Amino acid sequence: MRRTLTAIVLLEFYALFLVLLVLPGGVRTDEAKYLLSIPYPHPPAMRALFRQLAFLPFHEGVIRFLLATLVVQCVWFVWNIGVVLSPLRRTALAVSWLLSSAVILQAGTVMLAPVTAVFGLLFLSLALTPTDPSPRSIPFIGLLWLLSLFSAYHAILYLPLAASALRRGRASIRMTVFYVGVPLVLLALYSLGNPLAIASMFTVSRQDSALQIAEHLRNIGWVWIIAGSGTSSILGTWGLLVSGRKDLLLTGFFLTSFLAISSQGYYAILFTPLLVGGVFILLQRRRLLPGVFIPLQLVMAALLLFVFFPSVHSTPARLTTTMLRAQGVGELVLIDGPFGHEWQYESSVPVRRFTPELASQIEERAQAIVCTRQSCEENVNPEVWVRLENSPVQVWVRR
Amino acid sequence: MSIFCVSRLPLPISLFPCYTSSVLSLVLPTYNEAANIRSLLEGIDAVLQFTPHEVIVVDDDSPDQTWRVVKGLAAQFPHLRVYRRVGKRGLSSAVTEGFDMARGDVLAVMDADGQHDAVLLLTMLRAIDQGSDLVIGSRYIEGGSVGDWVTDRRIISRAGTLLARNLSRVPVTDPLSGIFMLRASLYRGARPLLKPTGFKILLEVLSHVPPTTRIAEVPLIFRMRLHGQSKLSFCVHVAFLCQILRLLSKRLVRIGSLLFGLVTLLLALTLLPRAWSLKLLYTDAQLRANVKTALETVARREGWLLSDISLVSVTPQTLSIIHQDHLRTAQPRERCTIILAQRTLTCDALSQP
Repeated sequence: MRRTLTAIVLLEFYALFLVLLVLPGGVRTDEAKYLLSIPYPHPPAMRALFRQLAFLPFHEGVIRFLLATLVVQCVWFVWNIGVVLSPLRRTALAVSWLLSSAVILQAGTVMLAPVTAVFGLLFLSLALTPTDPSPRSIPFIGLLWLLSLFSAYHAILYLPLAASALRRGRASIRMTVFYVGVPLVLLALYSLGNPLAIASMFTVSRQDSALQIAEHLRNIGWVWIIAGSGTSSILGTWGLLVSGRKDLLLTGFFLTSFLAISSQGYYAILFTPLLVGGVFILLQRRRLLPGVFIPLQLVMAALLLFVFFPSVHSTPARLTTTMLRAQGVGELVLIDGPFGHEWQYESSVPVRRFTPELASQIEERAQAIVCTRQSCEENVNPEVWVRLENSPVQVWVRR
Repeated sequence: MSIFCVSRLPLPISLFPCYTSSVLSLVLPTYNEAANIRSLLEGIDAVLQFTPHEVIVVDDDSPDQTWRVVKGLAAQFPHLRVYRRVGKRGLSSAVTEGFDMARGDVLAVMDADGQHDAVLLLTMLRAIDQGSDLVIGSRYIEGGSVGDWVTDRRIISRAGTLLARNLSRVPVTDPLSGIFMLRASLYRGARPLLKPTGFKILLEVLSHVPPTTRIAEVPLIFRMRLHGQSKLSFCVHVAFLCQILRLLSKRLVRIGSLLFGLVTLLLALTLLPRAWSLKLLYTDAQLRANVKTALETVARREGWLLSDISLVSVTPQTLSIIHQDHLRTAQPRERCTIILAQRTLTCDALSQP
């Protein structure tokens, strides 16, 4: 008991460390999207929860810490999967999760990919643990599947694992189809009621289609390496291939297909549960020496952390909005050029897009214009606006 | 009434008078009962001398070597079997292991500390012969009593019993009794569902037998233990609470399907109207194109971000939307209607969600 408590506390320190890695960089566009509960593209379960906690002081930090805790503490599910292994092998399995570069780099971020990965790990643990889930747990696995889908669309990639967990709970094929299918139908219904969610997903997927194939493959390669710190990436994939388990292989196929559409780095953590499953299979079949694996994973994780160390510089959005607050800018801020949701998050007043067609009464309400392009001088009337000096991007305030 | 019958057990019993056509397997779970076991076995032997039976002592490797004492008594009691469990502890699991190895068609269990009167076994056996599937020695029916228990134990036992009664699938007054008898067929039917942890095996059985089980209760007068110390400790209470919680959660889990149905139904009822009110977007390509153009035009004119807009409903003439400024501090919302032909916009502020 004391050992367990000590482990929990140490894991909390680890979670705190992972938060501190990303905290100085401030809120990024996707993080802002979830902190502000912007409705696209993902369904509302998690982002609405984040928004409900907005009353907390230091909201961003609290959410980061809660998510890091969730990701780190779910190593107990990994521990549970390894119940049949010797203590050293079990530790190696836990290390494959905790020292995955994806966990290190993403646990402290306010993203839905780590949350989805936790759901994936849960399904994996239900599908892999030596003791079958009780048949009574079947509706709860269904509810878990529903919650995962309504947290993020990515959860759909774990469909084979969710179905496998239900089958392990001795659900008949008809019941499995029901408990997997009904949440999918509801998700489809949600999407039909929010067509802009689907549209935004298409927009994101189109961004990758502009990439060269070589660049795309390189991105996928990095995602795969980060997912398992290289070591688990290779060994986990090997384990998956030798396992011959359809649920794991099909999930791997789904994830790879998804990356072929969108190979963003933050999707790496979606692969990690699967690689943990592969490592478990190798450990179980005694094809892996934990004494070699653990230090190798540690070294690779450190190396990749060095390579992909999160930015410690504040975003232009944070610096600029701080300046605007100091100038007493209120009412409305216009932004000319592409910008992320972090501008909305950092700003204390509504943010609007500065377009050539902008209605005059909107422009008259604006107190500042921010330019995120190379230059916006041609769009700004110097008789009305005066440029601020020493700002990270071009900024004008009303004279 | 006494008739002669042949035991079906491979025991050195040939012809003897018996009160029943059933063969009884009595399980005695023991732990540090060396001082009590002889007199208990003598009492049982006297009571069951005309009944085909076997006595199985399941000992959890007692430090006082109860198992060795029982082995030493084997010559005196030919129906006696002893099973020494090494590395295992727990009354419930001892009982189920005893039941699993039993060869009789009626199974019974009683405490090995002398607190249960062996005479009760005959009354219970008679009830089985009369058609009952499960017979319980109850302290809480007329004629039964908890004996000379101190007030504390009386209260705790009563509270535990009240709590446990609700978990039984069939109504009984004493689901925590330590003496009961049941048909082997009933036990075997329930066996895969039993989780023999803790100390209250009867409660576990009662939680898993079919609701149609015929149950009889016979009065039990609880006696003081003959020798040794009671095993009722804080750990026993905790184990009991854990068992209660587990069985309660099982009952809650039974409503898992209901919960799943309710959640999905509520979600469907919430989501369906909105999807329905936008159905024209999916059936009319021309209207979809009009909506897209109108929305983009209005968004450019208002400086809106598309991510701040939610579609509410669409008709061939109008598009209804909600625009929400996503800010950390407040998120003001307005409900707007776009006339698709003119691409004009009218908005009304909404209260904050």
